Amino acid sequence: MAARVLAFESALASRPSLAQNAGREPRSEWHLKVARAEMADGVDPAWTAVDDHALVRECLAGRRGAFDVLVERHRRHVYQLCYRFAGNHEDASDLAQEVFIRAYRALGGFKGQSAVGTWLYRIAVNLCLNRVPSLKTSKPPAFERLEAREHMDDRGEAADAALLRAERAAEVRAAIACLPKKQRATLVLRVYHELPHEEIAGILGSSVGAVKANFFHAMANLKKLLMERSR
Amino acid sequence: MMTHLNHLNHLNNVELVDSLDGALPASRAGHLDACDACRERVDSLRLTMSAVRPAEGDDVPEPSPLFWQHFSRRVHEAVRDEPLAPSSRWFRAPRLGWAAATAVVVLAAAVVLWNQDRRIRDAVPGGSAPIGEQASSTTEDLSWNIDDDEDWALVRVVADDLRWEDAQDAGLHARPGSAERVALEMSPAERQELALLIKDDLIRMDDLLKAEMKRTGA
Repeated sequence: MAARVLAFESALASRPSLAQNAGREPRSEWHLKVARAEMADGVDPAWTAVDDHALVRECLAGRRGAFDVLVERHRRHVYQLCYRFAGNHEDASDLAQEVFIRAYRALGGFKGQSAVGTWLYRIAVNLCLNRVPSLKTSKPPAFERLEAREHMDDRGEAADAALLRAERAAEVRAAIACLPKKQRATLVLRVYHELPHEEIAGILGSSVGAVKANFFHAMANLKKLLMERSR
Repeated sequence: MMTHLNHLNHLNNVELVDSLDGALPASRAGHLDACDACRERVDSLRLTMSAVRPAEGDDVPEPSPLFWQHFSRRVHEAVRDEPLAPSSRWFRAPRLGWAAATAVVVLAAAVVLWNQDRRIRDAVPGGSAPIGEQASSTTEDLSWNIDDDEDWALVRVVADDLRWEDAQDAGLHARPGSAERVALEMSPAERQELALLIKDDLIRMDDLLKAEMKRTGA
């Protein structure tokens, strides 16, 4: 058993750290192309300098174009969050769309006490936790990701190394999917969205201490699950 | 004994997470430096964390630019026919909403009655009682004859969005000083919005008053 733990931990140590890949802003050519295309989405440039809370007020005053700007600003992070729960593009896309529809309907109840992004995350997490177990995911996530990577792999990486990384990522994602709901949400928000514990507490409606405890248990359970899968 | 005390002082789960984040208080950092068991737990946590963290682009593939355009359009079309949320933020905060509505009613009533009083005073020779006395008696009349007073019927026209029964059920009653108290609780932006509401309603009420005076020949 001790040897297995050691082998597992050696494998973990060989993983690239997030520090090497830090930063959430688009950097690759692909991402630059995406950013340029988004500029041409038809959003009124006059809105671009307006902050999120002001956009909510504009929307409530009847200027619906303001909501389009909010969608444009937050759609990627909301989609990514949904993807991390759903594991495939089709369901993530549907979930993200529903998040924004729900947000629009609830706009009148938004008190402005949190950031709009935090509020959207809260809607997304609640929706995903309620919906994802019943989603019929027909495509294995790894297959979909490799398909998508055909467009974006500009790092000259060997195909087998990419495949290995994809398999590992799929294993991790499958293990995360087995975690209890709150642990799963905490881990996704903390590790993948890099949110501070305080903001996660606001999203999940928990105390900061409970979020940290959940995160600890999530990591401990995840380690156990990954070890079981590696046997 | 020493070992026992050390065991009792081990970092708890929350502190282990704090340590991972570099947020462990200095008072506990000393224990971590001295305790192999706690350091092993933190290292293990850190290793698991590095395993979970993805390389860039590994966990969520970036959809095509066309997808984002379609996505925004789908959301836009889905909400296009949705009824808008309440367009006024007064009604998003019930307490403030009622306070604002009450303030509109009270302030509008005061202006209407003051205008009427001035007309009467101008029309009647020698009708120049001290303003303070007039205001006092007027307010007193308002307080006691609110349901029968025709002036308050006009006020209800001003506050046609306000259900009077609901306001009374909510325990709101117009009394001298109500408007001032409500106005003092508002932020500058809210006061500005209230002033605009009152201005709009007064213009509308002035038109009604002129039409009524024209009809009765007053």
